[in-house]
Amino acid sequence: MTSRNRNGFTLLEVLVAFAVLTVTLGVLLNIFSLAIRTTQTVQDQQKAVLLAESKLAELDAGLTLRPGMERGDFDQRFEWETRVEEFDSRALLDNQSMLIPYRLSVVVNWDENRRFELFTLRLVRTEAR
Amino acid sequence: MTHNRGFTLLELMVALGLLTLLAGLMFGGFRLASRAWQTVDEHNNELSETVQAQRFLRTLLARSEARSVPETRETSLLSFQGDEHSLIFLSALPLRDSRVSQQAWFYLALDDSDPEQPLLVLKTYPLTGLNEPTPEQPDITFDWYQLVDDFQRPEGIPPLLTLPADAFSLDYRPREEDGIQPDWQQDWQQQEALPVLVRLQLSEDWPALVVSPGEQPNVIKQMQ
Repeated sequence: MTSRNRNGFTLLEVLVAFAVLTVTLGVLLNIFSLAIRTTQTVQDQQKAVLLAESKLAELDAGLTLRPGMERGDFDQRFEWETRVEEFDSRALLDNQSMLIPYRLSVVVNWDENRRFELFTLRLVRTEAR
Repeated sequence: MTHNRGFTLLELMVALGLLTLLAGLMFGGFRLASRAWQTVDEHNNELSETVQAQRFLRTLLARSEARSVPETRETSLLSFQGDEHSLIFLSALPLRDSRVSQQAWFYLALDDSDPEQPLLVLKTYPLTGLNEPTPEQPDITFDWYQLVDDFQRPEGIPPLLTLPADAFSLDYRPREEDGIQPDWQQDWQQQEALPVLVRLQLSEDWPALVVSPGEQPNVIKQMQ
């Protein structure tokens, strides 16, 4: 009788094995979906970089700067925010010149909590103010 | 003896039912996963192609040059002529495995000869015939209209890059004067300098690519 028992699996054993397999596969698929979500995030990030570059080119065009903040959106998902503000350079150098650095920044927001910021510095002649 | 008696029909049926259910779940999951993977893959490929193309076009346009081109028929032309649907400009063509780049003409337009699948094409042509006049050859041999014609004929010059695009339109923004921000305009012809910005709309759902052409020095700005 003991030899008969060792010859194969009982139905219950097969069932349990199958159930374990299903659970494992479920975990695997979960990892898979995580990978897909990460890819999506990377794609969005790439798109945000391109959008920010375009916006910064637009902000930097021309010879005059308008200090302040502006907002808008590219499409339903991506929003932008541009800022032109004086850059605090006192910590970096003793600025005796007539030129003051301004910070031009573009922030692209999407999906509630994602953001990408691109900024650059430009000099402004103070006597023209 | 009880161990040897086998299963009842009911037990077998329940077990089979459970097995079927689990197998169904498993295969359903697999099918869903493979379909999702395929979609993501396609989308990813499409997007990375667009991203690469946008990066390339940005570099190319940012390195475009404002050069006065002597022409056989007219006195001279700026090396940046564009309208709403096509653009010809002079830029540096990066060479493979090399840090030096070569000046070349570029032509950017939408090829809709196949209405099912319109393509954005970028063509390039080496910069020739623009040599300084020598005593042996005092005339400039450069023919602008020949160049435009070569670019526009589908069989003229093979494209360097093609990209599926539903639509393609170009806008140009002139340099601001007296602190007034000018509007976008639809062509850039017979002008003296490069526009401050070029805007490329590649497709309906993709936001526009805005580039400031030419090596713009970091000029000192004014406050408005």
